Amino acid sequence: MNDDELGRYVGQSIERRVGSVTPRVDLEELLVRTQRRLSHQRRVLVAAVVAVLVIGGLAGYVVGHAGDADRAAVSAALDDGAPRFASPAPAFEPANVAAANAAIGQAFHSAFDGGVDPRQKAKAIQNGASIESLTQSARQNAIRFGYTAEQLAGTTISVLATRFIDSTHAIVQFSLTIPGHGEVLKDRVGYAVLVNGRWKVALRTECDLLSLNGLGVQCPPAPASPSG
Amino acid sequence: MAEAAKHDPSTSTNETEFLPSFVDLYHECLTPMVRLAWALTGSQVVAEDVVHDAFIRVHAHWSRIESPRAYLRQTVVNACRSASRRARRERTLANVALIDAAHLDADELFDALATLPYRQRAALVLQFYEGLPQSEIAQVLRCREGTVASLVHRGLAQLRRVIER
Repeated sequence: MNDDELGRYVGQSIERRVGSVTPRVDLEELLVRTQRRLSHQRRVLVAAVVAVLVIGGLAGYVVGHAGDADRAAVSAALDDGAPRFASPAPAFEPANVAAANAAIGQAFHSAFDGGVDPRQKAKAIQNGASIESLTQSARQNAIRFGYTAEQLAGTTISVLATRFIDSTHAIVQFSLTIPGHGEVLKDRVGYAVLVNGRWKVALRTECDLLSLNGLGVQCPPAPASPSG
Repeated sequence: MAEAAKHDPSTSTNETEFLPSFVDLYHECLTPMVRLAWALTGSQVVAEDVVHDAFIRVHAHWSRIESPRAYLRQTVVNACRSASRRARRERTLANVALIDAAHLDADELFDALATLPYRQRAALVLQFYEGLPQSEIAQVLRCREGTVASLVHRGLAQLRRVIER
């Protein structure tokens, strides 16, 4: 038996054994696992960042308190007994929480609901004009992934909860549903930011979602001071 | 098999003609990729897991992939290599008994493939089952064409020794 004959025999042997297999088609499960993998990667990243912050904080605390004894002595010497100014209480919430909640919900709907005019969408996102082309690419990518234009137009967001970090920043929990695909994002966490008196979806939240189809890396950095 | 491969979308080399959606790719390539992975790992269960994971990897890199089918095949072959390493550590006496068999029929030849080193096995499967040219096998296995020819030659020689025992 020469090499060609034996090779053909090998091919036939494989075909005979595996040719009849028909694996279970479960695209939904695959997409769920894809989302789970991305969430896992994000959790690992967040955990790493938290660990770095905690370790950095502890190190800073230790270094900062090394000179406390000296500073306490100087402070006692300078103390003239006059009452100190009371520092203002931190503002953890905007003055009108209900109005802010409604405005944040409106911003998330404008940014993520299907069928919204792209210009209106961009206005609802912090620095939105800078990523208009990326959001268009994301839409085209979604179509490549198998979503139809009609399904994307029917996308709806549900804002589940809002918690204010301070008077200009809030954490927003939301879910995203695409017709025919169900709840593609569940209980996701994003951010809202007050820009020139208007609540908008934080740029980093939009970029997080763009990164789901590989576009996040091209996102511009968030502005140091609110604008856009 | 080479004839069949010409009509199999998962073995198409001209990806630029038709760029599938991810869903299309999944439906087109799931079965051929599971069959390929089964041939490479010797286990249907492992093959289905490997292919599932490969699709997840493809999905994660979708926007940067120029040739989804080729990328998927490469990912499956690489993942099968890792799975085979794990399987080698868990290898039982079953293979030893198989090598001692006096005669092997076509089905047993499939089992004999599992006794080969992974790269030899992959070269044989890709050439004689997938019907890929050696230039393409070289890309998948990340080696030179001459190395592929050598892997095929040594793999067949090893199989022949198994058969002639």
